[in-house]
Amino acid sequence: MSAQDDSELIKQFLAGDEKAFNLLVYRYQERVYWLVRRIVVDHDSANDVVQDVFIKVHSSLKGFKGESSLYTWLYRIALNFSFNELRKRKIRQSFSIEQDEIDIESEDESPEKFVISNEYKKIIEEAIKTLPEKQRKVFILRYYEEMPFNEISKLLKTSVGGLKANYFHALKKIGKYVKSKM
Amino acid sequence: MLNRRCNKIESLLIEYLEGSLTIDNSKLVEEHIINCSSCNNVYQDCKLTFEVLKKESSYSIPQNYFSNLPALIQNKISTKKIKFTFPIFSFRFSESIAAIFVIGLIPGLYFLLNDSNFEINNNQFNSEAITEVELNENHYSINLNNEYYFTEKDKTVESKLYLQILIPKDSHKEEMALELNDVILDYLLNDLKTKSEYEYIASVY
Repeated sequence: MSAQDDSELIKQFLAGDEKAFNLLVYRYQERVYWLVRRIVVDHDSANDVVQDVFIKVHSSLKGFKGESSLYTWLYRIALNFSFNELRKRKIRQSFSIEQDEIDIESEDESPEKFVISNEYKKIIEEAIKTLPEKQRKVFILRYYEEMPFNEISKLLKTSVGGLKANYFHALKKIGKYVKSKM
Repeated sequence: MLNRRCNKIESLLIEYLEGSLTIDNSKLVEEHIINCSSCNNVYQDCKLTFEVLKKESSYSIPQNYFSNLPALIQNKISTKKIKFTFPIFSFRFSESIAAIFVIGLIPGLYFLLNDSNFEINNNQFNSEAITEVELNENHYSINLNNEYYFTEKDKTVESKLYLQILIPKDSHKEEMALELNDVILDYLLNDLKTKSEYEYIASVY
């Protein structure tokens, strides 16, 4: 049986079939999760944001006009929610209630390799945090999501040239930051 | 100093580093960065970024996370639907809307919470409750979404309280925290008349 395309699933969902919505969640959950995780960093926040994203999609699908692909629409919501989460975190921190937490767990690597790669991860995370929001979005979408510039252009409604410049500046800044920490 | 050639090379560097540049253009980049220290520095920074990115460890996630996620989402959606049996006033707030609705909502909530069937069991302010903060021209607009437990005819019902509070921009951070607590406590004690310096909207569902 061939996989149903998104528009068929949306139609079925709007006709009252919740299973169709579940299929959409299965289809996109990993991509959305990794995008969100790259931005908010820790798993618990990513988990909350991802759930909120899909709840939002569930309540807003009626208004989805199909002008962009579902995937682009989902990514847009996920980006907005993720950056909102960062803003909320900033405010909570200003009330001195929580610290920025990064959960890094060991897996199959040797202890030495694990320490080194986690050290790199930490530096990269710090470097990414120093980027302005737009550059951060472009960097994550391009590098981690491997999204072509023309797709990012539709998502962020920015010209390809502008995006390339953003990506380039992000790479330069991260490199400079990394150099200063090594 | 950057010249036109440098700008051209910069525009090719991303594809060069990603390995997607044509052979001719790659040669162009290589020849230029050998002779131009400014572009060479930029190239080294970007190259270092890619090298470190390749070495960073991947994130770990709990086992079976993706198998369980759809069920978790469905569960939240169903819970939300059930909670809508309470009176609901849900707004995408803006300052003007807040000003319009605040007058109408508060008496309704006052009535609701004064209903003898309702008793609030949990009135602890929880910082996690902050859902949205916007800095407008003169004030912070803070949306709160806090969980409370109501007792309704001997049955405990988990519910949520929504508040939007506008706090003057020049408030000190510590003062803001206190003010948030004050507003919420006042709200819970139904003493809404004394806080005329604040505007706030609340909804319960």
